[in-house]
Amino acid sequence: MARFVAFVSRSWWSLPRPRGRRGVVLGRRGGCLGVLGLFGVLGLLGCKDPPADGPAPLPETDLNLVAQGAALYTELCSVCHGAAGQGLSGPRLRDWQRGGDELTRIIHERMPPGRPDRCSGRCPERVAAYILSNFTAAAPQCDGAGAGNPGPRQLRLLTKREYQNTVSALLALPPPPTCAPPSFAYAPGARTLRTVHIAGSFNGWAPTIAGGGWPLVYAADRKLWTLTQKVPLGTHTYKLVLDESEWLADPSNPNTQPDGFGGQNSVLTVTCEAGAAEADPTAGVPPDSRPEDFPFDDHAQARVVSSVHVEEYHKAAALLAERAVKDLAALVPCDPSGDQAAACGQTFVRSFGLRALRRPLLPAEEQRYLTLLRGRPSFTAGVTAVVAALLQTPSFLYRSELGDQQPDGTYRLTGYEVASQLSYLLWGTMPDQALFEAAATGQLADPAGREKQARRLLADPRSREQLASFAMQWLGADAILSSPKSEALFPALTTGARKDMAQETRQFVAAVVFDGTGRFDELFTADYSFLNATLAPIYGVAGVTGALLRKQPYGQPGRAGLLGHGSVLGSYAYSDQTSPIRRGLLVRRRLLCQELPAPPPNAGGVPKVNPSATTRERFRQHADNPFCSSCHQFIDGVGFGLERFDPIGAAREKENGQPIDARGDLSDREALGAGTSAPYAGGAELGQLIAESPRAQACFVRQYLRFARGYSEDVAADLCTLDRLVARFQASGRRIPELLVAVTQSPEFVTRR
Amino acid sequence: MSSNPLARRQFIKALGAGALALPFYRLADKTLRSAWAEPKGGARRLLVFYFPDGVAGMSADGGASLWDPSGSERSFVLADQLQPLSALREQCVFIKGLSMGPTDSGSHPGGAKKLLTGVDGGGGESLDRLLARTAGAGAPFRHLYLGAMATVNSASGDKHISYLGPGTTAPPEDKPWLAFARLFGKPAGPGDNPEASILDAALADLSDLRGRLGDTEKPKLDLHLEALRELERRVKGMGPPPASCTEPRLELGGVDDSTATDPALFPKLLRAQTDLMVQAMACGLTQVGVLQCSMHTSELIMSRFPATEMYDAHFDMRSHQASHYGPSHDPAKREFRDYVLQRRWFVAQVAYLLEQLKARPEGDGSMLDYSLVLVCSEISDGNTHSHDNMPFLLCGRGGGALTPGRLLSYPGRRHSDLLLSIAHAMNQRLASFGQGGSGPLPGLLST
Repeated sequence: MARFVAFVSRSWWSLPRPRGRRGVVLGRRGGCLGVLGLFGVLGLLGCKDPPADGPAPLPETDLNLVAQGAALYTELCSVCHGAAGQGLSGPRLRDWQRGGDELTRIIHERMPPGRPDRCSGRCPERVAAYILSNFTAAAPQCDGAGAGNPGPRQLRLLTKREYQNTVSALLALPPPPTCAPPSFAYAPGARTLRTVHIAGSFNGWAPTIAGGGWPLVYAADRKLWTLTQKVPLGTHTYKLVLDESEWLADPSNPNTQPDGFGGQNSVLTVTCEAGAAEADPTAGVPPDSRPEDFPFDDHAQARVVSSVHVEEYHKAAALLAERAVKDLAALVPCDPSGDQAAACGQTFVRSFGLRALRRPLLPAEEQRYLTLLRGRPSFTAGVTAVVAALLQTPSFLYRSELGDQQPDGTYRLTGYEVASQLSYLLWGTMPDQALFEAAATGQLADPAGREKQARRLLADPRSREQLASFAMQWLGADAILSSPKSEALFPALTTGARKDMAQETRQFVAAVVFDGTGRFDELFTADYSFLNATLAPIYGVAGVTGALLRKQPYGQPGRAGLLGHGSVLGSYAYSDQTSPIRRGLLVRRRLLCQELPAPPPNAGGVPKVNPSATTRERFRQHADNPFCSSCHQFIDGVGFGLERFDPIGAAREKENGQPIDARGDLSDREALGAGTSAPYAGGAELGQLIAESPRAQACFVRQYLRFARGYSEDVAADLCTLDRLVARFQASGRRIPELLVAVTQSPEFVTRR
Repeated sequence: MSSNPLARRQFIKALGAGALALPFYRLADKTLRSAWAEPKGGARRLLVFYFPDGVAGMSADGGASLWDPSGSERSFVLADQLQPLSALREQCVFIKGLSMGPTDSGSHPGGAKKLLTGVDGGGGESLDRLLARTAGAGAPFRHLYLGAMATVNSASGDKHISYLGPGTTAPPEDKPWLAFARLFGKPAGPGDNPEASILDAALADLSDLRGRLGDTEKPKLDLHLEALRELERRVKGMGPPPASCTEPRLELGGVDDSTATDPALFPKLLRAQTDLMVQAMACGLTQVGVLQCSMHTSELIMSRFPATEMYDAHFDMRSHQASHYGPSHDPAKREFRDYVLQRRWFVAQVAYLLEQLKARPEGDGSMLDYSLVLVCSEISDGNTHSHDNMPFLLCGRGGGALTPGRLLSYPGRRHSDLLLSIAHAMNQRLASFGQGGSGPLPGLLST
């Protein structure tokens, strides 16, 4: 109490001035350290250490101060910190442990970010008083025994990826039929023709066969000219050309459009590549929405079923059901003929229903689907209807994390819910038969039973794909598939090369985790990757042949691990230049879980490409201008060390004729604002710094937990859960498979509140 | 030969999927249509046109806005970026002075979240969704959200402006061919139209589940239920196409899955989505639509748009990059010049949309006479990231609710009140909408 009174009575000019770091003096407009200060503390809260500087209760005489603070807080702070201090784009304030002086000082100096002038005079202390009196809850406690924080009961809509995996596992469909190339035919009737060819937008309207026209072949027995020809994707216009002189629209194609000369062109649209699979009925399901700060596709609350979802589920269900019943015997485990039809119908509804809903049907559901089955004119039609209906029912579309209520008021997930938890977490799809059996016999209730199943699942190739998906989302590396790049500057980055780069990273992560040491460190220190004849020349690796990605040493001192991958380096670069900012933020946000505020208004743009300067020189203003450097000191220095990789990840020694300085600094690695320095040179050394960083190791655990649970952790409430997982991860020598198992072992894996 | 119209029937045939290969329109049934064939006045539809990264407004050094028209209510001059609307100036109300109030720091996402919700952090249902389930609830599709490269690379919710509920977005459809099939294709169903009973099963399951759960996950399941009911109405309520609904066509101009992120094709993609939106509305399929161009802090390389003044084969200029044109309106700076050209290009696309609506007869006038078109971006000046004096246009006559051809100024008022006024024009007399408002904007609506 004394402490608080002391601070409110102090004039603002007597507050300590900000501490400059390494010669950078922060003026009133330095917006970054304030925000970072809050984060640094929250990120480092120890589980067992009691707060040194707990919140002081507020004297009653200051109630007026609080009331004034409330209005100011609402106006100036709540947008970022949340109306209840819960943290939105700005950090959470509910756990503030550093007392009122510090809080007032930070508000005074830096809040709101970039505009501290909006909260001057007595504003900072009023706001601080309001925050302390309203938000600071009990200090987070970890009871040592490891009671974690059970997550909320929730329904998790299958992600598009999970939905597609589930549908194919459930229906065991054969690969879809391939697309036939278009056929052309012309019946000349009584006419005798020398040649018939096709001229169109796809072959430059070639007037002759020698000039590139596509010749049809005459089949005398059928009196028909024919041609089967691969045609590129897209919509094309064409005509038939008889004897290289007479042009006419294709009489066998009803689709025409005016040719601009008073006649008609035939129109042909090709929507699937000849030889490729036919359109996937699930392709129209919308991609998964997620909040801006959540890297994964499985956010539980951000994803809801819109009208478009319903429409697409409905359409896909009908098409998939029709395909599935083509092999009725595979779908129906009994003989439906004669007087066995009724019994077999029930067997089918029960067995298929269990797999579709991932639990036994409730009696009302069983009755409903039996009625649907029996209301159809044939058994096959009935099965089709049941399959189509189950594929769009909520209990199929949502993964249930609801559980049964316990005497203490919490909820415990059912065996079947746990089976789904395990299979969707480790495989990204529905449980298999063994998991269903383990669920039915109660083997998943205790950690040992879950461990046994988790290890079994991890030994299956499906877990490789799932972990690769996690890694691609964690790193944001799939952006390489669509990130615009200058074709003139980077002709090597073809569509095929982009796909290879994404595949390289997937294969690399799976290999490290499942074939190699399994250690986190290796992800960033490996001196090898998976390359083929397309990628090796981009990376400057000699002697690699073939299209298959094979394990190859980089043989380059500056390149190691994931930070040497084209998918990662290229996803965080512009079309025509690198971006030390983006690469730096990748490290800060995704690898170190360090949040930085968004750039302030009027921040200025990316400096223009300058043919006589290196990228580092162009971003010099970030260091020279104290306003910029307050944040960019944490960002650019990290990215500069990767400057010897160009916007597609190719090695370069020079930029615009000038040698590249590849020195960087991963300053404040363990805590933003701590003032530590970690200089390095080149990507391999940066990888080493990340590999050995406790902060990066703990961040990896956090990211995996986000992926596993479908929401971001609550730093205070999830303290023990995270602590325990990090401890187990560390104890295992940071072996990733052990982390994956550890997640399934905690009590929170099977309890909800 | 440059454009390749893709007629519905042929398009569906080209898809090759059996169940889609039936020539069939999905249209409002007659009872639904007659419900709004005799409108009670007011706007029959709302169309939101969004473009990213603001406009060249007032610069950081105080240079006057290059967006705001100058003059009086009836006599004003359009600034440079609005020139493409000069022939249509009598169709729009140019609105100055509205503020979005404080929003998240970083302001592009903050602005996008607040733009149609009126609530900080996207903490509420957006106006378009509210109108979709009220004024537009009778249409076969309550809502149509189309994008042009608006979901590239991720579906991060903060990039999208339409909110189903607090913090909840659904991505726009970026692929016109999928939207086309959804709107005009026949919904697939096995056998002899058993769709209704199949949906009945889903509805019954959902209802049971809601009953078991009580308040847990209720908002999620409520949205699901609404969506299922909408589909049920469509499945049960088909009718023959009305005469006013001409053969729907989709001009893709070479855009397909493999080119879906090629910036050079953005103009064609947006054109296809615009045409689709207008056709869907002309056929009475929907009354509330949102067209989203790219997304905030846009990476769209607009210097690759062919045959435009911006085109430069040797230099990539992204929307967001240009928006940070510097502290002053400096014509010597490439960013500034491109930024103005880019904004003008977006305005030209608005002009195309308005012309399309104007060209289609409705009642005693055109579709535009019965529509409201809201044109918006998530910030005002791209460089200052300001949320004051937001660049809003409201076009169309809204069935008599709006008198266009005016310049109106509302200094000190919040944009929530513009959204509220639009709701009123659509006959939804809400008391308030979003945060910070104080009532419908005076003088905006005729009633």
